[in-house]
Amino acid sequence: MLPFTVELRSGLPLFGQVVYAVKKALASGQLRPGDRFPSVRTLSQELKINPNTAHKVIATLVHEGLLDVQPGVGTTVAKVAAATIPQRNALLGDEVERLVVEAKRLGLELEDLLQAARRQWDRMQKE
Amino acid sequence: MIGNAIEAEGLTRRFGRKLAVSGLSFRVPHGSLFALLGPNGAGKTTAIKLLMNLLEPTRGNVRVLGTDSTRLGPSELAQIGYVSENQRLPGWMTVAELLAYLRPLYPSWNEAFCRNLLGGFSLPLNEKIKNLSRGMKVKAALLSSLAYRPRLLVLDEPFSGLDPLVREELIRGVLEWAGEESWTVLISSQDVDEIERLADWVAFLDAGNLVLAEPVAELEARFRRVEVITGDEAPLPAALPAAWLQAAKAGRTVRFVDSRYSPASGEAIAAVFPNCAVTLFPMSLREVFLTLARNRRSTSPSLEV
Amino acid sequence: MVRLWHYLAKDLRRLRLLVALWALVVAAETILAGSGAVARVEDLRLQEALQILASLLSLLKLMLACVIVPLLIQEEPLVGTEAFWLTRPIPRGTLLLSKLSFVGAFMIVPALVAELALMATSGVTTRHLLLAAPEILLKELAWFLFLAVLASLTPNFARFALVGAALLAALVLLGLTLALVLSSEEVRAEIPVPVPDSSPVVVALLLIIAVSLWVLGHQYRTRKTWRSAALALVGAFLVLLLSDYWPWPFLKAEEPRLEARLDPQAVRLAADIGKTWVSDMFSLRRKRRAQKNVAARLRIQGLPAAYAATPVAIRPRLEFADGSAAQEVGDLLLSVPPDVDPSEPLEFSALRQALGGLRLHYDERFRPSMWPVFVTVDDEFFSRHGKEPGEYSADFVFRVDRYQVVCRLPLRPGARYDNGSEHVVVTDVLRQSEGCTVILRESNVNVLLEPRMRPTTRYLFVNPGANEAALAREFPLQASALHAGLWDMTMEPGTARLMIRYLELRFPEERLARKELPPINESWLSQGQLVRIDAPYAGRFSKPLRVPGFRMDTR
Repeated sequence: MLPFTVELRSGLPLFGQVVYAVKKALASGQLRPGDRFPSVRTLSQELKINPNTAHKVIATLVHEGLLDVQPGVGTTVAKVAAATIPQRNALLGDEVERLVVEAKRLGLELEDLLQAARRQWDRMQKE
Repeated sequence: MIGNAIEAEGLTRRFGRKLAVSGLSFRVPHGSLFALLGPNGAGKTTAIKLLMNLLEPTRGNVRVLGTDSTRLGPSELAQIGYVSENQRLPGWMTVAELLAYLRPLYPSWNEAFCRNLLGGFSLPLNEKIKNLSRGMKVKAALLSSLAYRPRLLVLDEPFSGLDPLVREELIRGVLEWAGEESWTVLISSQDVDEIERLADWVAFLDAGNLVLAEPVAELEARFRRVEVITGDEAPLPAALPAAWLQAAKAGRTVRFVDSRYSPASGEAIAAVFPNCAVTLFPMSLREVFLTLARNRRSTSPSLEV
Repeated sequence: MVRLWHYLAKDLRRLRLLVALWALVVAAETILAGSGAVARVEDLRLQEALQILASLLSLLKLMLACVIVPLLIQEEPLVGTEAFWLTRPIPRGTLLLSKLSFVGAFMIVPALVAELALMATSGVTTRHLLLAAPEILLKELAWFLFLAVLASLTPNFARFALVGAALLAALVLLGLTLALVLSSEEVRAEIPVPVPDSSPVVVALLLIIAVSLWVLGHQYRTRKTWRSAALALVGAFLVLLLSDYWPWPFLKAEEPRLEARLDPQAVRLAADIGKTWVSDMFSLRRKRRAQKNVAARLRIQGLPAAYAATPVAIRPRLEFADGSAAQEVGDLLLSVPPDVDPSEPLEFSALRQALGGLRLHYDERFRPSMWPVFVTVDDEFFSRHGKEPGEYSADFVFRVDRYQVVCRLPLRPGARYDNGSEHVVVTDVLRQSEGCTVILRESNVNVLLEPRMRPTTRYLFVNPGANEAALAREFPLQASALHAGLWDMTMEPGTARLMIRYLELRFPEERLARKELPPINESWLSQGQLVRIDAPYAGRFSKPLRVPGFRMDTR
């Protein structure tokens, strides 16, 4: 089992999707600094992805300073400050793009979009 | 390890008058998981039999782990694993007897790893192989090909006819062995979805010819499904770029597959359809191959994509 | 070599039951052959049952070989692309060697040991044992290697059986056609005296082994089945060619030298042409012309004592006044009824002479009277010239046999004669009201590497006191032979290496008893002897004959 949420969609580069999912988990607090991170083998096994890809994911995250690899201990989440708001905004980029495209296609205006978003937010706040 | 685990050059095999595979030239880099895809009768099994020296090429050659396929001897075969629905295990042996028989033949046999896999596959040691279910047989075959940690694993349609649970166990087994050490996997399949996440190189075979062989990332980067909403219902322009496949128009909507997409493609599209709303969709491997297959059926087979 | 054992052990584990069965069948067959149980048993039904058992065992052995070899070889088949072993690091040379070792160790060696053991217990000399062993090995190897080649060229047992059956059928057909094509009337005029020559057989065996190993090696190395099959065919052709036309008789029995004992000049031929014996020539080919054989009595004088001569080739020429001539002989000898020729046959004279001139009693019904055929003519030629006297001349080639006493055995159980590997033992003497029956066990070897002619043997009851002898009636009880695969069964029927024969000798016949012989009582038995006379081939000579005024029809 993986300690973060990831939903892979076919057609998009796997590597990007997994890195993206890890970053989202870090931002939302699903993964906290010091948490154990799965190894290359576990990652590839659980996601049924090519180990080379899994290896690239971890290498990239390590390179970006988000993961630490210590011999004997394994891979852990690096002690890094929680993502700043601009960074979090960046994480949402994909979804925002999709939302805007859909809205434009349906012929909505920015105001309609913001209204719909607010309504949805409020509904979820109540739960 | 750099270099290629498999190098094929003009590989051709003829059966009577039929050309099963013709002029195959491709390379399988070390450390890659190479998927060989194609419809029934495309020549995948023949290609694999050629590189395993089960068949001799009519023309051309293929080098496996640095050795010409026709010269593969015990020292090379000790580093190659092979699982195929075309190969039958000795039915009279039990699983334990099979492993005991194979163990001394492989210098790199790893008993701990073998036992690990045995547990993972939950194979009954003392059951005769002929009494095992189909899924169990494939697992036994895979086990007997992984236990010595081969440098090259060749899988010829290993998942055909197996239920999803067994497929998952098999993939697990293969991934179990992959990892730090240098290993290469060549897997042929009709089922694209299975392989999509695993493959980092892919080749497409159709009617004995190699349509393409390239890294999956490249393929995914250059194929896009394009949807354009035009202003009128005029028919499609006659001369479209050759890289645009399966172009069709219904009402105001135009759809085609761009096989040479790059960030600059936007301009090309705008040139043909000025001031139109354009939406790009990424394509799964399956969608890519369906497109290619349809394309080959409808146009001349020699079209390079 | 450790690897060799690894493959052998796997094959043994898989085929252990069949291999055990093989050993069992070989042992059972050997014991049955050696024990003479069939002859000794008195119950007729049990006897028959045992004989059937012996044939069944032989057949079972054959079938087991035809099953074990393909199972063994096709566990790692060389035909097709689906075999498990092809993608495993199994060196082909070692694999082939392991298969050959399996056959050698678990199939050939037991057969060899069993047969040698049987020979040893049957009193075969060490020398003959040492000569028999290579023969057994060669024949078994040739047979098993042939099966192995067939198995290596077929993908599974079903195909192996099919191709094997087809080959067998083809061979039989080939043999039949050759026999039909080659059996012309002309060939019959001459029955050659076969001085046995083992050279072609040994050459054939060695070639079969060599070709088989060559084809096996090629198939294991290249797995190109069609090419290997072509090699096999070429090899088979070579084997047939070389063994049929082998020029160098390095293993041939010696042609005995007649000149030392017999001077052909001293022999005189005289024909009694007053009475001829004419009979229609029976021909398998009825479409040929109807012919008649004309025979007459030929007296051969001047032969030394205990020698008998039989014609083996006759080249006649019968000329008539009008120029027509006959030059053919169809059959060589005709059987003539006793009232036509009451004289004592040459063979019996020789027997008597060998015994030292005793009175010889025999049953008229079984006295052979054979007259040589002087000429064979068409029916219409016969009716045209039958009564006309013509000029007859012919060249006769005779085969000479020398009759000699081999042994004289007292008439009691246990009496025996031993000569190297040959043994004759009286096992039972049964007194009957008017005679006696003796049961005899003969055993002898016949090894390929020491070819010799087997002489005719005759047994006689002799009473030296009464100066009388009588021919014994022989009833074969059981002849046992062990077969090496298909080889002994088809190539040389009836001449196996170790022949153990049980004979029942009866004396005398009722008719004889009513004649002049004294009653067989205890005193006769105590004095009487069982004498064996052999008539080995002593050589041949030819002699011309001229008969002016020869008339074919003397009725």
